[in-house]
Amino acid sequence: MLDKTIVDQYDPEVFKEALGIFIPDSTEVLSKIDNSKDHETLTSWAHRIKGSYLMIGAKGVADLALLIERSQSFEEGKSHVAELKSAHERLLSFLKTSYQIEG
Amino acid sequence: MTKLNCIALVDDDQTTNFLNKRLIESKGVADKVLIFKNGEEAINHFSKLDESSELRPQLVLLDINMPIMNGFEFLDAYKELSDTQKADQIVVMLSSSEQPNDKAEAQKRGIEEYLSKPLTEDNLKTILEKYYAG
Repeated sequence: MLDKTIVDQYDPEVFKEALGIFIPDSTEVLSKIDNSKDHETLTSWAHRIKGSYLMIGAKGVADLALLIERSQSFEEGKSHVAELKSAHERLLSFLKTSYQIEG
Repeated sequence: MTKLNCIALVDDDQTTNFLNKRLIESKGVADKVLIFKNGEEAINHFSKLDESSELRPQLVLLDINMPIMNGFEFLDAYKELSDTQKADQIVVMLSSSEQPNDKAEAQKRGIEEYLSKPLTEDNLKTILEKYYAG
């Protein structure tokens, strides 16, 4: 689920500490994506969360955010949000289990 | 790897800033790493510095999409700084942007280096060897 070449750049404790930032921050951004009322806001937050996913090596989930970022209309972008939310939940579950993060 | 006095990270994403700072520190690339959450914070800092300041970054890693002042607006304001304030300073775009125009916009503003997130040790090494070796 994570690109090992990215993750291995960091000390495991540092990476775990980064996840302590990533998890609440990305969850908040995902909520903003879900609540976006216009295309510009939607694609802007999608871009933001894509960068966070890339930083922790979650390229597959970043690609879903990219679909929203590249969308040509609000409706098209919104059509990918459910899939992104689902992938985000799976990622968080994986991270919490793998790095023994509570909450 | 070459060691710099100071590197500035300009990005609104906390995860990005945290990991990039730790990567730079772990590789011993800079004595100081400064973090700015948008272009305005960075330009305010830069505009107060003189050439001898230890807090004058030699390398700036700049995101594009940020609130308040984005990367391109930063570059427009940066251009107005004195030559002394910008001396021996390299600005590198570090973005996850897929927009084809963004690279062209950066080049139009004099930026030669454009990296895609995430920052890697190899990317960092390439920049340091190109601009600071010897």
